[in-house]
Amino acid sequence: MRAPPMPPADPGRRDFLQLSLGGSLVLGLAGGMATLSGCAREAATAQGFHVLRPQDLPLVSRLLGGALDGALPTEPAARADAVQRTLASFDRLLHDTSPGVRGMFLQLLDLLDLGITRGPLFGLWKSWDDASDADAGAVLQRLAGSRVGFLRGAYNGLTTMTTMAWYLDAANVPAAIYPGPPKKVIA
Amino acid sequence: MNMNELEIRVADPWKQGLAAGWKVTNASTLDQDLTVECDVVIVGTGAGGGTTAEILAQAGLSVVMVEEGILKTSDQFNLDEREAYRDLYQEGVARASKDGAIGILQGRSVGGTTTVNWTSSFRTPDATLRHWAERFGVKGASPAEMAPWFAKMETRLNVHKWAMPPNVNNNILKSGCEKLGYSWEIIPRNVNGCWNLGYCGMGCPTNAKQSMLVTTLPAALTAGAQLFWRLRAERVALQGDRVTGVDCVALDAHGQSPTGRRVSIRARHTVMAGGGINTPGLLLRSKVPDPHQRVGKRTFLHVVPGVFAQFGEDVNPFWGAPQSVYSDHFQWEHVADGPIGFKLEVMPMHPGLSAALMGTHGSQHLADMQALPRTNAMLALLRDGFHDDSPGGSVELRDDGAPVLDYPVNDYILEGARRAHRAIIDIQFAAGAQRVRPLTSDPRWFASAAEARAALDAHPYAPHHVKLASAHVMGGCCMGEDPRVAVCDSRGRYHHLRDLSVLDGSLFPTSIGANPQLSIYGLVARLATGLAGELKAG
Ligand SMILES: Cc1cc2nc3c(=O)[nH]c(=O)nc-3n(C[C@H](O)[C@H](O)[C@H](O)COP(=O)(O)OP(=O)(O)OC[C@H]3O[C@@H](n4cnc5c(N)ncnc54)[C@H](O)[C@@H]3O)c2cc1C
Ligand code: SF4
Repeated sequence: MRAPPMPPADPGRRDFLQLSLGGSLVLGLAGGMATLSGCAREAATAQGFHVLRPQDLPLVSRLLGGALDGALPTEPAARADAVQRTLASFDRLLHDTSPGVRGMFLQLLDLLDLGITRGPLFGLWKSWDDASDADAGAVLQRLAGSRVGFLRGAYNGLTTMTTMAWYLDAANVPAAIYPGPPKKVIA
Repeated sequence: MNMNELEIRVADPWKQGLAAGWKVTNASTLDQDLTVECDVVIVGTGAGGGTTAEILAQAGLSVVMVEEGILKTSDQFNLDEREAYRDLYQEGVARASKDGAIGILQGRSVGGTTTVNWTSSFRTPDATLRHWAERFGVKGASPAEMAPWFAKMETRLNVHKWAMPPNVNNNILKSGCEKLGYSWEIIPRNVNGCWNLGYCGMGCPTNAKQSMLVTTLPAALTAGAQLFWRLRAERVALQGDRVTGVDCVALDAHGQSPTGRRVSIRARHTVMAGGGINTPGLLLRSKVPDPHQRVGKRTFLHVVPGVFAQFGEDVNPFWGAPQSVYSDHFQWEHVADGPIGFKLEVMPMHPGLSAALMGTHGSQHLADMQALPRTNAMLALLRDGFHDDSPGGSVELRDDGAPVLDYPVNDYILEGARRAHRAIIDIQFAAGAQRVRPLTSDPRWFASAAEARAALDAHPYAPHHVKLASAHVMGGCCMGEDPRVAVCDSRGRYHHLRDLSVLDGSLFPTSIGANPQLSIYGLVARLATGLAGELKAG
């Protein structure tokens, strides 16, 4: 049979391209303004971490809470403990990738954290220290529904890293999802 | 049976080889700089590098192999996803195109991508070989000229059509195609005594997969070749218009930072086999003469869109030979002059990578993960590089000298993704799917083909709004006789320098239109045999 006919080109496409271009413009401007205003970012890593910096910890903790809602335990102490473990797992993922990918991801975390970009781009008008898991969920929901390519890209990056940080830890994967691999014995 | 109840106990051939005196050096432990001389230095130990090493070493040439990845062998393959991604994949599995719109899976360990590939073994389609001859002036690679080389490598790597029944994941493709009257076939695999486990992507724990790690590399080492691992080729060494070897830097045990130790390898001939993206990256870093700015151009990906489907019964997509059925029903209607053709296959789904592919969060993500055992993941490999509207991507260097692929996702590719989504949905419903979810920024599941189609028609096909990935990086050092278009000639020799060859998947002038490993083995076996003859003669 012949392949199905090509559907008509999407009339909205041009808008998307322009918007996503706008997204990267904002990114560039915000970065520049942050530098100009002397708003220096803490570059040293947080104690006990390979990559994450002190200011990343509340932000990533809340994002884990939002992304893994349902998978994380609900009892507060157990939840805090699980988030702490997954924060370390997230940090290892960043540690194990290349300097290029790591640098880009840290830039994204900066955009999420900096006051001048956090509100306008991500819809969060309070600091991450004051935010809840539900606030983080709302940020993710906003990105998920965004028509701006750059923001959708941010959503893909954030969900990939947070969910992998959880599901790459075998202890978090119930047998009903994945019973696990065969046992390897050194011959 | 349940795979998690199996116990694997298999001898590791590297243990014996190392005990017998194979020359293998972990460069991260070097405490001094080294200079090494040889006939041929080969950068990269994957499909192209392994094939080249065996042929040259067995021809009696002195061979040094350089690999920046880790040496891990069957004793260390513990089937843990995280460890596999960290140790065996480029950029810890997080490699992506420059704007992040296409995720790129590529190997990085001794054995290259063959250590983690899924064993599907196809000859280069005749249409592709003819296209190369017609459009790129490639010589010596007609279907008739290539056939004996494919046959030779099929024998070497034990390629046979998979004789066991396909797992449920693959059987969905088969039964869907049968219901719709689409063509489908069983996939030939390069395995020997395969346990049908499904962990090819984490390093085969049984050594059944005939990857370079258990075939050509051991043979080359037995023939006297030397291997350095955790050693990165930084630049080729130039003397006038001659390449005299490569300058390398040792990496630390973690594989990211240079230790400060350097290894200079001087050779009569230098072979680049670092694979797509990395081989052009090495050439760009070396600032080799490139008068027409061709290095890194025409890099192709077999860009992959996909659709998840949930079934009423268990699929267990994490177990069983990962790929055993394919369909070329939508592949060859046009070779180069129409909408993009695609090959249909399925992929294995382990929890870590599945979690990432879901592209959702919160309660929907959890629900989708809970349905993993009942989920089928079907893919289309878009055959990029044939049509004029499919120029592929270009390799660039980041500030730190690492290569990155700029691959603009244009309308031609996006329309291909839309057609592929539609085709796959039909197949999944024909095979009995309860609901489907094309991997786009729309998180909804659809219970009928009509609903899914309507949603796809309304969906904005744009970068980041369609999940795209690739496991097949090809091209970037295009072969052909015209130096204005091609980087290398039809023998893989660099057009503008002497004593330098490229012998890996980056030679391809277009994508293949089939999983590429056997295309690399066959082509490289032919070219390396020619190179061995020349080097032996003088
Ligand atoms: C998950 C997955 C599944 C796949 N499944 C299949 C399949 O079923 N069938 C199929 O045909 N194909 C499959 N492929 C693709 C196939 O394996 C590759 O196309 C093929 O191995 C590429 O061969 P290559 O020689 O070009 O490079 P590679 O095999 O990638 O080898 C290149 C090696 O060079 C090393 N290197 C690069 N640069 C340097 C440097 N500067 N210094 C030192 N070392 C360097 C790299 O670390 C790497 O180990 C799969 C790929 C993936 C990722
Ligand atoms: S399916 Fe076969 S080839 Fe793949 S990992 Fe299992 S035993 Fe090895």
